[in-house]
Amino acid sequence: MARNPYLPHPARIEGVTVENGVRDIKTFRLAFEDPASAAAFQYLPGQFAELSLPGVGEAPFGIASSPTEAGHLLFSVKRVGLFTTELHSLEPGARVGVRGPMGKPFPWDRLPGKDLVIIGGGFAFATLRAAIQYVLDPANRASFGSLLVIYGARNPGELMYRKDLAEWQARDDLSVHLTVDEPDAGWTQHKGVVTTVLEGLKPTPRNALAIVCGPPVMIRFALLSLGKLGFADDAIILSLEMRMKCGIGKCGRCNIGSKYVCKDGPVFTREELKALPAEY
Amino acid sequence: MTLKRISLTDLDRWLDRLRERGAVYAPGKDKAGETVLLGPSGREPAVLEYRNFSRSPKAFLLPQNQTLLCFNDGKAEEPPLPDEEVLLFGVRPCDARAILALDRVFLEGDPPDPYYTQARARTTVVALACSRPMASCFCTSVGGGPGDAAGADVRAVALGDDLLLESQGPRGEALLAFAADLLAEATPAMVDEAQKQVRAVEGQVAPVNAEKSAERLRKAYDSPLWQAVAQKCLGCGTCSFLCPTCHCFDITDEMRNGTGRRVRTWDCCAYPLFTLHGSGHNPRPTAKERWRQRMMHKFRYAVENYEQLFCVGCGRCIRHCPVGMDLRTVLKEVGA
Repeated sequence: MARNPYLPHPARIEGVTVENGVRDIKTFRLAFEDPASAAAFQYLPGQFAELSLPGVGEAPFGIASSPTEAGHLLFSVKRVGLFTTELHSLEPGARVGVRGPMGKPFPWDRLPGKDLVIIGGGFAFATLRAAIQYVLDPANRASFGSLLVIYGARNPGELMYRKDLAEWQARDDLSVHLTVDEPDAGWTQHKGVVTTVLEGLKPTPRNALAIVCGPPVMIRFALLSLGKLGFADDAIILSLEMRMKCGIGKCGRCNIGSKYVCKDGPVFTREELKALPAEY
Repeated sequence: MTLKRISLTDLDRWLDRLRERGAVYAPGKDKAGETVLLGPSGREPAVLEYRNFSRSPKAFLLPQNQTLLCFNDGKAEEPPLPDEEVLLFGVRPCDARAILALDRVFLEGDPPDPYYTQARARTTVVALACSRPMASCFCTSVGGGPGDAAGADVRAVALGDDLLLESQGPRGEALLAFAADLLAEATPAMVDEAQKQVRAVEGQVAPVNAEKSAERLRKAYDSPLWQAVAQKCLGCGTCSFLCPTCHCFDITDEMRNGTGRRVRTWDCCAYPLFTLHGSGHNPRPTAKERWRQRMMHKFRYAVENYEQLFCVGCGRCIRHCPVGMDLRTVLKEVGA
């Protein structure tokens, strides 16, 4: 019989990184305790998993690491409720269960050969980090065209993955534009919303696909800008968030129309979303 | 198909014999005088004069509270599951049909649900044809009928002093073979009589316009009707809890002194918390969106996903709603 889908894989926290100035986003580096779990957990960027703490509960999080970063999983978690507060109190060595991988990844069958425009805002950048690391992997990089990343946050302290951002900006095989609404004294990069940067850079929609993750208001304006630039609806890829419990299309709460975000998503094209009720 | 008959005077003896193969739940009076599916402890004479149970038998397959995992020393383990055979005798055809809807989600879904699958494999259902439909019944409009055998392993029809038993598959065959010495061969006349009786009862079930509901609901997503009908909804969830096809659930943890469990509990789309995000955003913020979801799920989304209505016309949500909400009105008005 197949593995019980409600049974988490046991893992341990290997490391914790505080990601932002107000210290409410932490990235947890997890390693499976059992080699069989590590072998079973085959994922692609864009997928998510349910993290599990016995006696506390479970919650779904996008996987922030790329499968090319072997040996561990990364999850960036903002402290907002009961589960995330408990998780934030944990230190390296603590045990965490992982259920997954769940959902559909970014369309890795369509992405090769394309120029990629990645637009992210706030802490929704997690699975975008996974996608970027995946594309940048030496074994993969040649399969993709140009890579343009636009990442915005409220202020410089809210930008996650500072070390990765610095590494990416030092490379010449991708272009990373960072922008903040409220710059501080030392800020030398863009100021304003991601759409201003996007419209200034004017990436061509020819042979290009855009991936957008962020807060609803950012998504709304990013879609308008991408539309103006000529990106077709099926060339815009989005990832949605919903309250979830089971993660396997049974508990009934994450649906948009007849689609379940947990199993039919969380990744949808703008075209697919337009065919669904706007209930998200 | 095996056709058998049993005299009603032998019915209790037969059910008693069937207790040798596992638990038998049969209709009997509870302490409040209501007819319910009484469990192994209540060896009362089976009662056949009932219309339907107030609670659907879905809890036998999807318990209201079910342990998914046990926690010991921070380790999650699968709970031991009962392996006893269970016979549900006297389930009404609407409720038997509802099991097929649950099957689509829990048995055939990818991945299948291990707990439901295990419970389903050890449960045998005998559906008893209805002789007196209620005013709120509308099974004939949603694909079923008072003599429908869908979802049942054996269909039973009461004919005077006899019960006609028809197996519907291997599990039904096995049941009828277990205490076969108490059963007699059915006559062709009985089969004709049963058909005639079912036809007559079908005519007593008031029709509801559920034709092309998926198509009509697709066009009515933004209808002002939702606001109007949802206004009096209290969001109490009675409809969901009594509905034989409603299956949405919550998962929560219980912990005391280092041991505990992860438990799944029936949940309901009428509750604001059902869809509330951690950020405070709620994609279904008011009763309007939540009631629309309930209707859409049963009469449109289920059709789109499974080509099957997730309503069997049992009428419980109509009979038991404290404010008299009636989905038949919506079905009639939507897209009309």
